[in-house]
Amino acid sequence: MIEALTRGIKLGGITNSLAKAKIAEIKSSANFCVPLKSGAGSESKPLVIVGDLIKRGTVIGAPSDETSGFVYSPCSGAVVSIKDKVNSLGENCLNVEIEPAHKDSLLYFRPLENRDNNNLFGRLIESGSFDNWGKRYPSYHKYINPNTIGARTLIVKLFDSDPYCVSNLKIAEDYAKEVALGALCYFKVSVAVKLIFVGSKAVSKSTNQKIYDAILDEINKSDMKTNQVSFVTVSKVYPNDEDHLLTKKVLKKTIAVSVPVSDKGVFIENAQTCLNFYRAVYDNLPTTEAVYTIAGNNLKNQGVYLVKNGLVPQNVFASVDIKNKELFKQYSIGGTFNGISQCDTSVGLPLSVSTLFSNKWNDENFKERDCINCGRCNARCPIKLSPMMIDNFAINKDFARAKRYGVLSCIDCGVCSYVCPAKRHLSQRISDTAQAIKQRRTM
Amino acid sequence: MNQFKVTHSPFVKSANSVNFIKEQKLIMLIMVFVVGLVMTNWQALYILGIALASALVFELLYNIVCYEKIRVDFLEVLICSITFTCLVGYKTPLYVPVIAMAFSIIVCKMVFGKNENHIVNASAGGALFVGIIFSQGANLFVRVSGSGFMRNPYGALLENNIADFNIIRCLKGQISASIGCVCLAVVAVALIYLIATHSVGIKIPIIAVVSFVLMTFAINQFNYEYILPYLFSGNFLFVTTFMLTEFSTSPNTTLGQFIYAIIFGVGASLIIKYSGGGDMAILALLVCVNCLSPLLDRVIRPHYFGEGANE
Repeated sequence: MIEALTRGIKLGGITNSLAKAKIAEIKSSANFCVPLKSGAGSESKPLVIVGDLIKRGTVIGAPSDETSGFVYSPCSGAVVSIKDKVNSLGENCLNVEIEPAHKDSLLYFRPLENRDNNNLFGRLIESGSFDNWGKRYPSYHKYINPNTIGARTLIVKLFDSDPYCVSNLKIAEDYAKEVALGALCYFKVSVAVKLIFVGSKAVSKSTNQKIYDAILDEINKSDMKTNQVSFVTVSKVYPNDEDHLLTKKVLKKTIAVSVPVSDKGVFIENAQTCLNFYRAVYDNLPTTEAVYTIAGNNLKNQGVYLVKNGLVPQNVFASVDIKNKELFKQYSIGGTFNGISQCDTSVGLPLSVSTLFSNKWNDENFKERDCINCGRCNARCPIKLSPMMIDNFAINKDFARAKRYGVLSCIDCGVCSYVCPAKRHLSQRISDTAQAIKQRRTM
Repeated sequence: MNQFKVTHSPFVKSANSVNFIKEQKLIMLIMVFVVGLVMTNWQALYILGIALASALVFELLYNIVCYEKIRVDFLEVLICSITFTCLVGYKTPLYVPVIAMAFSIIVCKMVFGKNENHIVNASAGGALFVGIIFSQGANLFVRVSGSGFMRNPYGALLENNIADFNIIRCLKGQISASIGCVCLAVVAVALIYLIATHSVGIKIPIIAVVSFVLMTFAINQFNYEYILPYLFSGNFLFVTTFMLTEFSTSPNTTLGQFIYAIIFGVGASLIIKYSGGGDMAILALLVCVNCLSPLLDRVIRPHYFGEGANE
């Protein structure tokens, strides 16, 4: 009953099978297909040509503008091709295909002379650890945005609210020390006055306590004041980890969804980005891999895996074993509820996401019916939109009313589509309408 | 797998589907009907058979004439005909369901809205229509008990003799009522089941019942003895469980649902008190609040998170 009154989705017990999983590595000798664009930002410029012999960590893509970033080779080998191909977002971009060599050799960054703000910021940019999956600009740009107002706070997420994803939790469990040091680097870069680590009530109190104790140990060794650090746990409701909702829950601060939280002095990182930053600063390693949760009821070996940039899903699925190949028709990259569903298993996996998901495909479950006006989408929308009304406006191309009903504030969480008993593709149409309004064009 | 296809709809969907919701409602309606059948008379089966056949024929005819398609939403038709049967007495003449279903399906369901989108509850519309044309000139909002096929169970209340009201008899189904309302214990169980399986929303029935109880308490000099007779008499509980909660005829916003349920609850209580109310009056009230629902949806726009804040 309480669940019915909760906004968002509360799914219990799903992560239980993943709770005991350890971070494993997917070994593949197949070619890598590294996309030079993996998010909403611009495409990076290729710095290699076909036939080049490169090491792991060689720069293969450089930023073309402030919304793109550095891309590093995930392995040693030879560049086989550079061709225009669809990426995980379904957009065309240049993909660098690399044939891995038998022996992997690493190319490191030069060590930092000192870890002051400027040096750390420079390392953050060149690390390639930021993601440009975000809607507006890559995560490093927020730290130098002149429009930022208010006292600065850094929030580090140690969880994922997606019930099928445990990547950040596993990183926090296994690399608490590194995450703490990475967070301290971000703390310096952001010039924040407060650092808040956020855990989830989805895991036991003892697990959270263990993580916090390990983090606190590292913080105490630094020159940071203890009253600047705090720990918070939030309930296990999807999508609690969305920036604006998290800010509301942790800081009790309401920021309009159309405004990035960083504009109001709230910077949000997660365990993965902190670990990447730590490696770039302390180990001088460029970011070439990410921790993925690979889950779904059609996979035999669900778990948490270290996935290299540009690894091809068909190799990943070969490693984790598909239970029923007949029912494997699509998979999702980047979140179960708001990820991108794909059929093509030859796209390169990006570093900016943390979930790969494949359930047994049931066509019936995705067949749209007429809306029955049940209002569940309204009741569950975490930002109190009226998806059924907006969907109606979207179908009638009534963009003015869609805008008045807050279509531009949609956070693309996919809760409305999940709960809809008529299986309507609400989030997809709402997202398309928002895009159309933004681009000032008619659909 | 080679065919490229990308979508950002969620990859997982909740198991709850439209068919599931309708099936749950149908199961509960059948249960209520069967109990009513056992408690009253097997003649009720005739009424159901004729109502069902009529509904099927009229929906089929309408679809063939208007859309040139041979298509019937069987679950909807079943729900509509069983609901109607539950609303009438077992002595109802057999031509009545035919007229009621013609009005329900063609006017209430198809002309004004089509499937899933109609404004007025189809069964209520049909029952009210036949109630009006066969009421022998009686005012709808006064006592309609007696010889009419739309039988009124408010015996004790109508005689203004609260002491005659027996809750045990009411729960056991030993009262004079329409087929679906003889045993209100079963209706209450159905309501709980439907809420538990998320087949109906929780807000509307709870608010309707609470506002009904509070209003009854207030208008009867705060005498609690009137609450149970009001609540367990007639078809208030049946209408609240199976008709007021219908998705397509109720508002979508939380505030809208509050207003909708309060109007129904308060109105039902007032009708019983001041008009001697019966099944027909409650149905008329339901049709009125159904008509209010699109207006509530239009007028009430919920404020979304961060609207106007720091933009």
